Amino acid sequence: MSVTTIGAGRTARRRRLNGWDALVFAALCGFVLLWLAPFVSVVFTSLRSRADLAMNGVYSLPQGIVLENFVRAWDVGGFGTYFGNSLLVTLTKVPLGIAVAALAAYPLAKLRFRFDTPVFIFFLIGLAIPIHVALVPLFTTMRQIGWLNSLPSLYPPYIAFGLPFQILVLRGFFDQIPDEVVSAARVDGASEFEIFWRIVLPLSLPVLATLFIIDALHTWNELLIALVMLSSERLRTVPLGLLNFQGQYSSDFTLFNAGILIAILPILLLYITMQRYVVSGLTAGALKE
Amino acid sequence: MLHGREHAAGPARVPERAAVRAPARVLPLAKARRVATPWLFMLPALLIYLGFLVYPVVSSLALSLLRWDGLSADRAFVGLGNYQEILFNDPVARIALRNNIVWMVATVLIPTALGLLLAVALNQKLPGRNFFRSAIYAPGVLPLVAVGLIWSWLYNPTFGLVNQVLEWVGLGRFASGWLGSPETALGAVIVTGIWQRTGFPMLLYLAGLQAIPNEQYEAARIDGAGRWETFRAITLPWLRPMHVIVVALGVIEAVKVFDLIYSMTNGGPAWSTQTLATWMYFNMFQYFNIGYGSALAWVIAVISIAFAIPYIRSMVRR
Amino acid sequence: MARSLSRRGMLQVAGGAAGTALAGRFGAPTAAAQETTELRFAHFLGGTQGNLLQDALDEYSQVNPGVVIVSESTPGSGWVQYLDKVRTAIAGGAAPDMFMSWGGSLGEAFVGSDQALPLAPYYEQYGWTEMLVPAAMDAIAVDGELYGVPVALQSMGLWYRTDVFAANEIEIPQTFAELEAAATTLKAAGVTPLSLGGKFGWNVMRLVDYFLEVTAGPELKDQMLALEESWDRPEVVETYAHLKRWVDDEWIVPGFLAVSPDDARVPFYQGQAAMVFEGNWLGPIIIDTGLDTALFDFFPPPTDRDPLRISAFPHQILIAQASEQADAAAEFLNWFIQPEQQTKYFDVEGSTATLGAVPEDDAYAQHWQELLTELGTYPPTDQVFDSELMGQFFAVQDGIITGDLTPEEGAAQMEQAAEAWRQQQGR
Repeated sequence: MSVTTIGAGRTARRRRLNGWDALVFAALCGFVLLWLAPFVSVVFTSLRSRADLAMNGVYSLPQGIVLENFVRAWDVGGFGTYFGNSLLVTLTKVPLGIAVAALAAYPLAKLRFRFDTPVFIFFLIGLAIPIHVALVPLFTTMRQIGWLNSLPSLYPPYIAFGLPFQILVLRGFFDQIPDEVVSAARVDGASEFEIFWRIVLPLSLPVLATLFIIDALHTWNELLIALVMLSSERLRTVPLGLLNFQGQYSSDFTLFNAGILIAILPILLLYITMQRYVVSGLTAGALKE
Repeated sequence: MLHGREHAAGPARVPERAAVRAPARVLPLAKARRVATPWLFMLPALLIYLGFLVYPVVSSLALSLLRWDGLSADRAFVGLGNYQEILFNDPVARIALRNNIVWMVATVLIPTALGLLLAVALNQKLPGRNFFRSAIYAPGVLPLVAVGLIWSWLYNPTFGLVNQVLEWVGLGRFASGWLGSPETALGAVIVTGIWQRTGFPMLLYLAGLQAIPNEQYEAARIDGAGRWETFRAITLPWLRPMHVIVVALGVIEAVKVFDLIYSMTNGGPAWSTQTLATWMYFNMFQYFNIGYGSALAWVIAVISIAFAIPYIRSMVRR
Repeated sequence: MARSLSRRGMLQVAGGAAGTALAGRFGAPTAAAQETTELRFAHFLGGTQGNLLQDALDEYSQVNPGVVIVSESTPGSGWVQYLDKVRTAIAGGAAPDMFMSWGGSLGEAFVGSDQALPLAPYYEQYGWTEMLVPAAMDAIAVDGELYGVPVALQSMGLWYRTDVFAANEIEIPQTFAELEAAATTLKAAGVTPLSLGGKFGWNVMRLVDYFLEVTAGPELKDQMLALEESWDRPEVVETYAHLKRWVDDEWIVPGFLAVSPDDARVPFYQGQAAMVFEGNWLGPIIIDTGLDTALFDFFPPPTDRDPLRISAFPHQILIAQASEQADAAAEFLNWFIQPEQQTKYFDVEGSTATLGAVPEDDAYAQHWQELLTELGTYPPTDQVFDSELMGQFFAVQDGIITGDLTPEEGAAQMEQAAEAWRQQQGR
């Protein structure tokens, strides 16, 4: 009798769990559907002709599929070039910036030294700075260095303005790594850099991946600094390129929306690939030991 | 090693200690090394940060004391006059501050709560989990101009989807010119803000959830804790570093909010959606009041520091 | 293991990208070869217009080997980003040799700070005064001095749907009363008379400017724009009362305040609205978009005043004070404003400030040209007022539309803003 009771109880619980999961799943489906609805105008508009858009409006089904918009955005809109520039800047600047931030975050989290808190706060204050206020002085500095109107001019300000957030996140994460792990390595005679490079960084992969996604996104979409620093057509980045579809008197919305889809594709792909690392669960075990 | 802080007090003590501990030559070197190590680690960051953030920002502090159009030789030193004007004489700045506060409350609370909920839901093994995560994050990857366009169309009074849907479901009487009326404009932009910003806390919380050891949950299960108790007793406390980051960033972002307002309402109608940052931008780049705009920027910085830094400090204190 | 692999993989990708792109993109700005003159030209034209301008620049380089004009375009949301960029460049000591601007206060922003070169010597050398439309030169002159060369004279009026007008038996209105009667007829027939986009203020300003031209008349209105006369007066109250009535009677598409001017055309294209307040540039857009030109035409809004004036404004190209190649820049400008080039590249601007350069096969352009010769012109207020005062103007206009301000309060508030500005100028 007792056996049957337990058995009944267990199946009941399992059924309740499944029911809960199904509920969550259904709720998520509904939510995501609503969440993605705004994209419908981007997809529709990128697939129709200008006349179709003008006559039938944004939310009607396209009269015919015009894939040519993507080709024209790529060729005529110069997106091929802008895409290359943005890709180059993002793929080089982001790892560089995160490396610089991680180096700075390590002593702030794991080495006790004078002024550690003031230095941390000093970095944090950067979060509060609206970037607009720095544009003109940055421009002047770049002109003095002679980097104006070149892609390298983007790196220092991008890295500088990315540091506060990255240091905040990384310091918080490094902090969670048990001190014993670090001191054990110290006893073994490892240098601080070795500890940082061989122990702390590998343990931090999920957060590094998260930062990579976030920073890549910021870099990919950054407009203001690029607008001010870059003049030549061949140096334009993707957000600058998108401006190109907005004429003074009219905007070519079909090409513009095709451009938007092209522009967000790499970031979505990046997110999907990096996601594996974000939630790889590496730390869960490692930290526990 | 343990007494590092005392050692660092000054070289005067070194001879004494050297007398006690041999060999005398190695100790200062080791100490120098220990003192230098953190700074060597931070050197690249400090150089870039000082050169390309601190320096430009400090030079803007000097500008905030001037009345200047940014180009002409006609610069007048007005001391704290610009700040006085902002604090006591500028009706738009007052509207802007109020809007910033409304924006802050809404865009800190809702995306944080929603992001946490979604992160917990999507941390389970569900079919299509990766798709859901990407879909929810997707609005966050859009370039600003795209967000502005998408939502201006959604809210459009003649052909917008929002009004059309209201009509389909029989709520046509609530159809409105959302962004065009001072009563609804800010709220409409906030909805967009929530849509665009929820993916970010979700992403951070997902990363944070990975750090929670499974044993914790197992122990809770053995104790017979329900979903809610487990969430409250384990998940929430373990996510503490992420709470700090999400809330602090949310607050700071809210004080600095510029992009969405600028692209969706341009601060209108009749300045009813101006925020401190859009008002700064108007002053700096449209009205060419470089001094006044710089002063506004400093007001923004001081407010966000006042809000966020104490919070971050208290939460990360070791 | 997987970790280090992936990191290396990533670096390889990055390195590969860098390798292919380094040569082309990564370097410092290209150094001009010794005998090549490189002129930097900042402008705000994008899309098809920008591409056509590029063709013109390329042709110039072909005709004049050794001269390269580098186009630095900042298209996009109106003038803000463009001015932002050019001013930053000038303030930061890297001014372009030539830059495009509008007339009036927007151009004066550079003149007033001594950033633009006075061009009187070049006008004399090349005889530009005889070649250009006088109204265009008037529109860019600052205290009688010319700092730029006009390359366009854009004019505005009411574009209307010919089919909608015909279906409701509406003739082109000749008086303000007839225009309002037409609006009444249209509204009764279920068509919104006018579509506007209030997002940036300037689209609605065109209607306010027009009402002011009707109520105050040319002479008084010009004095008011020069801030020589008070704004707190019956004519202004009447102007705002007109605006309020047009809004309240839903003669303007409801909810138009936050709509962008681009989107405001949609109800017009689809026949739900009968008119838009637009300029000559709409002609090429209608043709480019692939719409039926027979459905769209325009007329000058009737003001019941003598002379009848339409709203018009120039585009000009200025030479930077800091440019070391002013002569070469002037040489290019001279080439560009010749009738031959202006006709060939007419669609760069959709209008021209050069006499006798309107293409003969362009019916819309010919019609605008006729209007410009027959009628007077007045400047849009945003090219007269400083941008900060203009901000007040837009805010009052919004207040009237939302109902937060009565016409009387609006007039009083405008005068208050004008007075504050007079004082600041006097200081």
